Amino acid sequence: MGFRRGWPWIVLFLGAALAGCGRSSVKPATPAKPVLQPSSDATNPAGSSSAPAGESEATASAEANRPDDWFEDATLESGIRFAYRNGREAGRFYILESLGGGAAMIDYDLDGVLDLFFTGGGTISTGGPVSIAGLPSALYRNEGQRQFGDVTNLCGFEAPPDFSHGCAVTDYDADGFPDLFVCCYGRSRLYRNLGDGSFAEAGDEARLPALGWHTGAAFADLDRDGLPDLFVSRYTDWSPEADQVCIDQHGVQDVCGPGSYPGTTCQFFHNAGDGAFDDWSQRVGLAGNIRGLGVVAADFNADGWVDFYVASDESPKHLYLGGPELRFTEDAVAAGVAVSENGRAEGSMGVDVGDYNGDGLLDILVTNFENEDNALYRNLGDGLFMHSTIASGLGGVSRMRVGWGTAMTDFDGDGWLDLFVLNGNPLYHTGLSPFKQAPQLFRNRQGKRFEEVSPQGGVFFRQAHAGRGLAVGDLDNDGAPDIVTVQVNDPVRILYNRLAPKNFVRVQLAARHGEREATGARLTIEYDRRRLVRFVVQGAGYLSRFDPRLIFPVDESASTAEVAVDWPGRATETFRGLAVRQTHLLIEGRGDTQHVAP
Amino acid sequence: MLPHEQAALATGRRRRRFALAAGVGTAAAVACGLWLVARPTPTRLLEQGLLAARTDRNAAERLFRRALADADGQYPDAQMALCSLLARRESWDEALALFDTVDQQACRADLLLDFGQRSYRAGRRAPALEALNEVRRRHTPESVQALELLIFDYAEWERHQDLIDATRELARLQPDDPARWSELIDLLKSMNRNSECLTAIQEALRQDLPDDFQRDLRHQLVDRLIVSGDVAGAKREIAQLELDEGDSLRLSGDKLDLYRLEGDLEKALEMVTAIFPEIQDRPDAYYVRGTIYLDLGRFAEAAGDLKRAVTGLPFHNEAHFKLAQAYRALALTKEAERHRKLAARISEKRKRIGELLNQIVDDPQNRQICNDLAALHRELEEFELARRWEHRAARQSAAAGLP
Repeated sequence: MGFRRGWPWIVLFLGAALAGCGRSSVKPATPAKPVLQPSSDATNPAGSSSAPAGESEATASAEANRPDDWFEDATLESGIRFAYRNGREAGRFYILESLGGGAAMIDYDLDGVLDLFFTGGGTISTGGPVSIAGLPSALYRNEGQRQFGDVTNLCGFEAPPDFSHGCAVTDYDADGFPDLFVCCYGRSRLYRNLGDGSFAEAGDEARLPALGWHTGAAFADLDRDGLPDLFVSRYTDWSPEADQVCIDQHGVQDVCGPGSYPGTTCQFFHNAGDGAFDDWSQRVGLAGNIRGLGVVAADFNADGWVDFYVASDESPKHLYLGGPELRFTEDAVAAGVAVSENGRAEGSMGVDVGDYNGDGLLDILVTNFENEDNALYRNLGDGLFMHSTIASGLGGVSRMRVGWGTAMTDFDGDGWLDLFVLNGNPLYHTGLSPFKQAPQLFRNRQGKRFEEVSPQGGVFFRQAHAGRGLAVGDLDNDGAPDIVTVQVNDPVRILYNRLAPKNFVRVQLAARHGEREATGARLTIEYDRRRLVRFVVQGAGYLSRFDPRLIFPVDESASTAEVAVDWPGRATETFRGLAVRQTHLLIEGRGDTQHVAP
Repeated sequence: MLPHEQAALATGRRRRRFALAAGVGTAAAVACGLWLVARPTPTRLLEQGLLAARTDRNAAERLFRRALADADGQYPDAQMALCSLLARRESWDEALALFDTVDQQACRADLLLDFGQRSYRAGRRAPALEALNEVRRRHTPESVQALELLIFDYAEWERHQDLIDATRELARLQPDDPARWSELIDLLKSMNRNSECLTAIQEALRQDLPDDFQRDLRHQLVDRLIVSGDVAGAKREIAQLELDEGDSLRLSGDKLDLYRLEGDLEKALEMVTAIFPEIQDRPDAYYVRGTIYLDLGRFAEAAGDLKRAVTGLPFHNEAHFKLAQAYRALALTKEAERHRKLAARISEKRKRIGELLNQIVDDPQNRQICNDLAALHRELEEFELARRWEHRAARQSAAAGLP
């Protein structure tokens, strides 16, 4: 924009506590698991170095945490030794290598602290006929004191699924224990939590023919039968046989972009209630062409019906509005959340939602490819959104980066949602920006604009990473949301938030007249003479699952708090006398609270 | 006659004959010596041939062949001159056969250039590019002409990277020529090679170029820094420009862009309001102000300005899209949908143009693509571009012997 001189000439022509899993029974991972790999960069393909796993971690902690850092990198002390692997060492430059993996914050043993689940990715054969194999996922049990134990094998995840990407969590069989879904290239897997500290793959009985290239997933109850249904985003119609070779103008081979392959459609599976799912993709009207990545389930138009928003790579994003007719209406264009501020489709990856400007409405943040700003869509109400990247001060700040996992979370406990973006280029050599990039942290200035505070983020923020998946949640239950990041071929990182609020209350919903997690519910609390609104959503970040609990800052002098809950499509209920610095399970219809640990 | 008289007579004859023979021999030897001394060297024969070529091609050919023969067949310049002569006679088989034997690296640049130009004009592209590229490597004055023709060819054949490389080389060959830098910068800008464009501008700024051009380059640098999202860099340049030129309209435009990038919309509006009287006759002024109103959530004002913008710029898809957004926020659904569809239609045409440009890289002689491109540009009222593609299609038809 601006008033520039016009130039003629040639230009014109070219125009993301149970017995079996006791603390004493933690065992090391099996050799078959993905192991930590040394840091890779654009010129040093992963796997090409024989450096031991510890080197990469040493690199990760080489720089000390500073006293004023927002986050403390505690990966080394955590006991977590895991890296997502993308098969780059095969040197085939498959687009399959681009997407990375996700993480889930899941309290699988119901001990009141969040455990961590990671997808493993996979391997690609080097020579001869192409063979794509999955690597095992990993589950780490939170043992408190910021220590995690590897319970992958104890919990039944030793067998690898297909080449994996994202993951989702829900209690699909309503037995009270959260289950896991892993998105794969090939056949995605549903793991049932048996309640004894182990999981078992739901096989044919689940009737879940989730085939194709699944990236992200979100569970939510579309038909209000009280059971979470499954929405899965799919990427492209790529296969090794249809692989394209992409070589740049300097003769350098790299991964091809998604535009080289046809898009596909997302899938929707209805939870039949008998432990099985039915493919309702056609019935709910899923059609069109999309290269789906991040997916979020929420009530975007506040009509009480759950909707799904899908970030799409190099094609317009989709907003599938749910309704009583149980048929989606794809409304992204009319809602103003399909494209950039100039009407262009973008390379969209991660997505998160929240009320960033304090108007009580759910806004959307989408991370995009290089040469594109990340997109912040401000909710105007009535199902309308306005592209507000520029107005919020986010213009240009991420333009020379490729954004993946993202979070709209109140990291500094002031009641305003801050932003975190994990960056990294899918192109190894030929991108405008490097393969590894520093993440970004933006502080919310009273809902008016964002200010980059990455330098104060911490060690992790002062390094470059091949970032992808991201999960946010209170791992140490101190009231401050922590971050878990997933990199490609580098160790996952555990970042503890040092800005714990002075006073807070943590809540989790338990619906009785609908899906238990109450996706789409809206929670309100009074804080600092204003109303803070939070939403219950599924699938945020990028191919990941966040902490299902919501944290609200509470005035320092208060000993209790009051939270109003708008149950999706049902009444508003107020829960009073919630003791501060506690976690409360807000059970629909009781107007009371059930105290849970800690 | 007495025997002694006869003998004397014979002796006299022998003496005369000998003297005659000696004289003739001496004369011949002198003549030979003189001829040997004065005989034209191959170089001279070549020069004579080059002169003669203007008026008498046969004489010129004899001279070139003599020069070549005199050099025992090893005279690249003479071979090249002969190549050009044969090319002028359209004896292409012979010319190209001879060209294949020429040691080009040992050949004069002007002769190579001449052959390259003739070959190119005659549609003999491969040998032409070979000769021209050899001249290009010399970094001599002839290299300029060679590069100009190569640039024309790369543009024509959509060889984008070659085009950029050649244009950059030409700018470096004539570093004091502003036009060369402009061509390179505009080319890189049009191809969205932003980081390369920034580098080119910075390189140009290191040259000894006229002050006005330098200042223009600095404004372009600000523009590119803003496109890159480099707020700090843009601020630095703007501050420096402000010192040098005070409050100019162009600098105000730069500041406006920077304020918007920073999300300082009130300041951006202040700036555009201040300069609006000077630019209100331009439809893009309404686009700029309308965009800021839209950012500020002042939808009615945004709609008003953007409407005027699309009136003046009917094929500005972004203006139509933003107008649709403003109308949407104002609940003017029908109008919003109309402009959204208009924007989508224009975008679709531009996307199609992009696809066709990619296709023509692989199939540069495809007349249908040229015609389709011309038609699309005409629909977007980009008549100059339409004419260019029509012209190219016509040329290809002619080359194929089609009506």
